[in-house]
Amino acid sequence: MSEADKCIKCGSCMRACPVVSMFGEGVFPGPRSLVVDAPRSGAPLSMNELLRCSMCMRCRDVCPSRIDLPEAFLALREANRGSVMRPGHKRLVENIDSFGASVHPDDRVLSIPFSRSADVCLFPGCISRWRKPEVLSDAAYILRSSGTEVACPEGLVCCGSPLEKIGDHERREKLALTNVPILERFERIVTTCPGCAGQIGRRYGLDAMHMVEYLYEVVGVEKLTARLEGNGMKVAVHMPCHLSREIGPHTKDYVHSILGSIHGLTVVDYPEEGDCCGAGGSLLSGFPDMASALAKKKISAAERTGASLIVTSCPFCIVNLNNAGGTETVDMITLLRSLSSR
Amino acid sequence: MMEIPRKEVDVLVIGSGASGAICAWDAARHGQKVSMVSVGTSATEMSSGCVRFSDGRTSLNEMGLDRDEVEDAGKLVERFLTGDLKKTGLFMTGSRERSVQLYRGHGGVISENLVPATTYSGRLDAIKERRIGVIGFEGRTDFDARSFSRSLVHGSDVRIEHRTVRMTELDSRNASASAAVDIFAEAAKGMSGELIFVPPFLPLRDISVGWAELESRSGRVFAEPVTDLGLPGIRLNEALASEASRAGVVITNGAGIVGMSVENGALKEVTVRSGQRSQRIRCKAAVYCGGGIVGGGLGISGREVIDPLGMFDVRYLKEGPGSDIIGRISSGGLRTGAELGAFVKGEKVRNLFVAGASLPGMNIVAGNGIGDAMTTALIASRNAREASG
Repeated sequence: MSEADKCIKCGSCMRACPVVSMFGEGVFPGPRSLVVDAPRSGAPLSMNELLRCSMCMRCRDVCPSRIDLPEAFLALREANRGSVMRPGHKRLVENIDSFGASVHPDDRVLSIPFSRSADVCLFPGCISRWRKPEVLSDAAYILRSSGTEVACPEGLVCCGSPLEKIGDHERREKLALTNVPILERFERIVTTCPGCAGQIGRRYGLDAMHMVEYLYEVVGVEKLTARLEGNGMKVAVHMPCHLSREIGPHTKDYVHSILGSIHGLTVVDYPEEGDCCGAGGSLLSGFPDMASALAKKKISAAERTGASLIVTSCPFCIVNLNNAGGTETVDMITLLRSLSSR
Repeated sequence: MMEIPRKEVDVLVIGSGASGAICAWDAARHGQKVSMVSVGTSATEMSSGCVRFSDGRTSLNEMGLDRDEVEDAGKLVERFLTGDLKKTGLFMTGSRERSVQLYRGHGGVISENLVPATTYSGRLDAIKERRIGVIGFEGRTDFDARSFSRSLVHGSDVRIEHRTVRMTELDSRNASASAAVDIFAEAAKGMSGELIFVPPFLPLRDISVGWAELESRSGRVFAEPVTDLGLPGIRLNEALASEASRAGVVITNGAGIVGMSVENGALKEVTVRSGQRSQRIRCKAAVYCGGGIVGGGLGISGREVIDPLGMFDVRYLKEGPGSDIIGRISSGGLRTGAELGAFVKGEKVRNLFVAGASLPGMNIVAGNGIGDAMTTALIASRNAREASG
């Protein structure tokens, strides 16, 4: 019995989908239509329609039959991948082939005090490495201060998650084969990107902890936040989809526990905290206008709370939300570092 | 699967629909450390947000539950829904003893006991005496203005005034509540009716204030028809979760059961999945409120009801070769002994209980309502508290 046969047509996935909600079924037919209805009726699928899923994974969360809709989307993308690509995806593939990175590397040198030999590998991830290197250096600093020596070995390439999202398993596999022998040498892998953590966990046969997990479980909230002072700042949390749904809902408790322990910092409670920013699933590179519209909606929701800053834990979310303008979004690591140096 | 740090609780409640929520609330308000875990969407969220206490109370007695206990628990369910829930903004009216007939958004009539205050629960024949307006919502599937209107006027010559609000003018998921209220209030001002039916459009956090604004701004009385797979069910589920959370329950959605370890007739530990991680939860007692067929707690295969977890024993109230498939399946559920104690692989487990639509004969197809499910959940909670010590 195929997964899709378990569908009871309740429509929960359609109601939960942020893309259907924002743009309507005419633009994005949605999980039920694409994963269940079309295959059942034998209707041909359009890759453009399949690519409009932001991989927020809310559909899987709400499905009473527990159908793995995101996994089905990835399988359908692989099966329907043709030779015509979205311009953004073409650039992605060119960057991978030329540089082993999903974005064009810039010439900023990563000046992070990494130790030559360490048990913990900080897997940089393309977006952190080439667009938000300060997050990596802040992460290394915090880990170092808490007694963890980290290394960022040479030779690491893109984790492969963006390639998986566009159905290009040939390239994804090649990237994994380059990374695995390097990562295998470490006792533990930590990363600032939920996409990388998810990819390494699901595809590499290894496991990576997201920084939020490492900070909560290994460093400890007390040690991390004891001397920090929020000075009355009011922040709104943006929970990255890949963090709370792929890595796991425990990360929500971790984020709130860490931020909630900072004296003088107020974390607002608002219902849209878990709403997708719109960057995921290759939407940021494939349909930047859709990603932007979803980002603006998220920022409006955060701004209604009166927060002066949006705090998150994913480099894609940061890039996409900041591109939309309005209240600034920073990584929790950046916030922790900045509060400690006051 | 990588493990995250183990958790220790007094009572673990599995399932966060109506049964799970009230079970967890009850255990927590008695001082127990409670964790409630769930996956998917509960049948409560998909429901009409109304609560029925059916004559399926006979099923509760068939289960060997004490009549007085059922009566006391039922009264507490009613007090909880009509009293405690007010803090969340959800006002429920009605009575456990007497059902009321309600108009459905798709046409037709349904009987329920407790209904949200925003749902029209006046006498059906009295409606003919009022000037009625109906504001439809183009593109919505939970409210068919024409079918609904036909039910209202059935057999009479009452005329209903119609207006339609367009999707582009209002998508309550994108617009703020006050913008939505503005649009409906404006539409109503242009109508002569004094009782205006609208599709549910306000989420729980806005329902109290929003509804009051709607009526005061337009000078009309508003009402919602009964609709499922929409906001009312979501409101009820949210309100219940909110009360449970207020009582101190820690709620984790998206954490499914991976395993249970039973030793010497007692449940020691439950392993849940949290994304790519697993977590062991050590509990003194647990209550399984995973739901019936609609909520995804039970599955069907042929003539058999199956426990998707593969742990519990299944039992049917209607056995024998003569029983039809529907009758058999609707009478099926997880096997329990006295006091709703669970059986795992034939063995009675003294600190594990089952409540709600997972019980034999309790699911909605058998005619039982959310009220009956919640009644069993309170009984199970009391037993779990005793087992937890």
